[in-house]
Amino acid sequence: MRGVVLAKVVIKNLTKRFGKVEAIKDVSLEADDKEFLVLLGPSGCGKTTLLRCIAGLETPDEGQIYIDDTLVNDLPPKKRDVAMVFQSYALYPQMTAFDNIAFPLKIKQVPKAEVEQRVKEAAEMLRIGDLLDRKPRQLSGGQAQRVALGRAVVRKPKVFLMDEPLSNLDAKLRVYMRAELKELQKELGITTIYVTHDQVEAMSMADRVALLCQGILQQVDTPEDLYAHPTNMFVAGFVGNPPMNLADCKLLKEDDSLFLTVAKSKIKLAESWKEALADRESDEELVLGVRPEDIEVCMEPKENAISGEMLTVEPLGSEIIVNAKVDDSIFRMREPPEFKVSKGLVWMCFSASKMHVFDKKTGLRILPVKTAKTA
Amino acid sequence: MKAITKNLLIAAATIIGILIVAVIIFPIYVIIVSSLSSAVSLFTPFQPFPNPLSFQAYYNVLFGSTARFFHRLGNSLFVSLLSLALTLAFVIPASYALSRFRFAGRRTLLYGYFAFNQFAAGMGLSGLISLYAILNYLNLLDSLVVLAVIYTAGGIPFNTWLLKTYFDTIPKDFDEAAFVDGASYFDVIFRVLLPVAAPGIATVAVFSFMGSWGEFIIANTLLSPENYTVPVSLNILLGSPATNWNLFAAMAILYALPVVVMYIIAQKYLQAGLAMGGVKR
Amino acid sequence: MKRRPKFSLHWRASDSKPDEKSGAKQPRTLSGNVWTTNRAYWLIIPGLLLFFVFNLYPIIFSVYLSFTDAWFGNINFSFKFIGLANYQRLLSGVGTLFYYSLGRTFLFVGTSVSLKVLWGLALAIIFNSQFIVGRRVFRSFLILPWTLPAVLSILAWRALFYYPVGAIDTIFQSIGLPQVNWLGNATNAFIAYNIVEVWLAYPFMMTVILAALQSVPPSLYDASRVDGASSWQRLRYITLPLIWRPMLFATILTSSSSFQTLLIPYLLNGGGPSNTNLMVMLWGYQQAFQNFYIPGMMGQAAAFFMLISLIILAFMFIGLKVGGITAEE
Repeated sequence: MRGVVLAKVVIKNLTKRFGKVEAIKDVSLEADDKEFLVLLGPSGCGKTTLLRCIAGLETPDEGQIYIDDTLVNDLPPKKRDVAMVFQSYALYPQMTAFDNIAFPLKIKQVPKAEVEQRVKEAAEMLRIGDLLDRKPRQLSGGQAQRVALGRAVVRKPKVFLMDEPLSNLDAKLRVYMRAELKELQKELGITTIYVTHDQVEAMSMADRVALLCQGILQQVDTPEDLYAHPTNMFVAGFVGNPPMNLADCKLLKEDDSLFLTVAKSKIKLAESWKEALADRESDEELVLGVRPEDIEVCMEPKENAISGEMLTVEPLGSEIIVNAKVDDSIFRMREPPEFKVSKGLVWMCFSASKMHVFDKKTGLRILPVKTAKTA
Repeated sequence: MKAITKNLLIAAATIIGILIVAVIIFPIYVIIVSSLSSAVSLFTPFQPFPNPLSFQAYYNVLFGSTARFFHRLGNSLFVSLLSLALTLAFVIPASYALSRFRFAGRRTLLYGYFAFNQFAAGMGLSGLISLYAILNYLNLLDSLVVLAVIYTAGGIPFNTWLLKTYFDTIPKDFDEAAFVDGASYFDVIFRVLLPVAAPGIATVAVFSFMGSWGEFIIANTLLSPENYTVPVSLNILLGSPATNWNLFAAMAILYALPVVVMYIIAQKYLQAGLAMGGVKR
Repeated sequence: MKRRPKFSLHWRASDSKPDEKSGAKQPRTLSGNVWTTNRAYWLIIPGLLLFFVFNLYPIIFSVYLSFTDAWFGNINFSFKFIGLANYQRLLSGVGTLFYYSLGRTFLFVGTSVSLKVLWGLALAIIFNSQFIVGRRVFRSFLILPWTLPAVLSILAWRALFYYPVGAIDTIFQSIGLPQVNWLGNATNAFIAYNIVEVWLAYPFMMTVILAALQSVPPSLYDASRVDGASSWQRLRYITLPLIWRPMLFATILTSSSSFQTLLIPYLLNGGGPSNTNLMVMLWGYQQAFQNFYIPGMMGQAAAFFMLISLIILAFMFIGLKVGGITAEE
């Protein structure tokens, strides 16, 4: 569809301050050509600021931004060849849908015939061809959103920037639009940077996810890797629903074995952990993490399981969420709907390979070393 | 955009802003400067800075014998305060009734008051002709009290409508709670609504006072020298070649002061009263 | 006497019980929020009465006067009814300044309103800009002409325009420009009128436009910047289309007030020199209160004001029409 252009976006050591507050702290990131990169994080983490810096609506205090190998720091938005879709759609209220989509072409003084053709093309692609005469206030949320998309698409830019475009739609439409957007992006082959706070959305749409927290980049990986190999506690707890269960524990070095003591339970660690935990003291505080879906709840005592007290059960129809109290934390587990559980103590079993251990102070994950002997 | 460009634009824009404000303020600045200068007549060219700086003008105006300023000030104050009191007395009950009650003709009256506001200015002068004739016949021409009454009457439509819309924003629950507790209408108005409606009433008071304080045409037409209000006498002063220019300026500043004070007081009320609802004394 | 407790919302009627109130009061009946007593009328009548006697009735009486030969000589209510003679005389244009003042006033409206709109728009845009530091402080200064008593301001300007030693002429002289006889020359005085009118009235326009500017969502500007619009294009395609409606309405209102200007011509130079800058309201005032020793003048003035009121009504009508259109959007 387009000529051979490599529209890579490279961000190097970007820092942005608002007064004394650092919204973005030394972030370095790359989005490959044609990649769908999602900026994910809780509100206030700096993802929208980062997007606006790429667009040129904010000026970074430090760092460089490259689009297609060109340094764009000093370029105004209109020279960067990026298109942006806003959360509120930002449709010009006094113009029809047609004029809205045509606007970027009109101000570049594209000839009228070409404008009409390109707008119609974009409208066809987004299936809003019969809405072109309407004004924004006559459009539903979903329709308005497509018009906003049309305005971005018609320009055939190097990069799409999207700031939570789906968050104003109702849940059903949102799920539908996710698939549509992803397909559209694949078809057009335009590098896209997409901001959202919804981790389900990120996981379902992204080629890669960049997770931010308070201006600091936590991890950039494919959704699968982000889920299975979180680099720290924040990532582990953010991705996944219900989130990963985290419990404080203590390292116990007994004889030649390593254990983690969680509440009253003792979990034996495999050999592969020895090296990673070699220079840690016994009794040192760590954090144990296991995902809900990796836990099996047992009513009888089991070895290498965490014991806790049954709290509540949430029957969701397709599954049951079991909540159990372990010391000060609540563990949430997923069980099939037929699962029967009664009050009292339960034992939560999990496979050693599904267990994550984090340093309590830094929050970083401690990785076991894989040797030929261990799994 | 480069940081340098941005800072340049900020500097340029702010400078332009200051220049514009300077031009706007200029007439007032001239008056203030003149009031602080030593005796100059109207024929003395303007000086940007008072040289020497002197409060003589203010002294003469306030304590001197020739200016008769206090007398005029007293007239203006009398008229404005009387008009203010009358306005509140007539408008508060009326707007309360219009806000809380339903009765035949309510809507017509409201529309009428609102519509009259729009036409008032144009018709006002023609009404003055009749008023002049009537007052002359009744020998009531040169009366400060009548002037105050005229001001009040002229403000009734606007002020009633204004206060009514303000009362509308106070939930009727207040009234009902008080009634259930045994209050009479009187109590409800004075003890419940007035404290909560203070900002609205302050607004009406300010409008009324300032309208009377600054009114010129009617006062000029109806009054004789003994009863002149300040605006009228200011005009006469400026027309007389013998006038001390800086006396005039001092008088003008003193005349403007109550307005400034009023604004400051009203601002405080407006800000305080914005947090409304469930007020407990 | 028992002291009433300090009032709070939970006021307890400890010393008066409803049943014991004097029998003169009618029973209160509550049906939801609707009171069914006649008390309402009693509360409204005084204000209404005052307004009627001192404001409304005189206007109605003036209508009557417009058909009489009222003047100072027969002011003790011995007017003679003369039908439409006043109107005929005015509209014929013979021997009256009717058409002259009307023309001059419309000219004034045209020039002053254009200036007011441009100045108000410029100021609103400048002081809404993100590049100005301390916007709120600026705005409180900019509102100044509105807050001061008009008489004060106009007299101050009169002093500024005083030839040859007023502040303006003094400054002109010091920078080498010739001194201008502002108020003694018809065209110069007209310019002076415009300057003062703009000075007094621009805060209104500026405030309206400023409010309209601030109601434009900033994301629209962001979107247009990303789409490639220059500042000029942003102004033309986004700002103006979104603010022209409130602007138009405000323009109609401010035209009406320009038309009715009285203090400016009266206080600056009495409509001079020699009535060359006569505005309609001033002429009406002159007829009624300065020339009323001429037989029939007051009646004629009354008729004149009736005609002027029709024009003002037209302004109002247009304003409502435009206001209705703007409300629909």
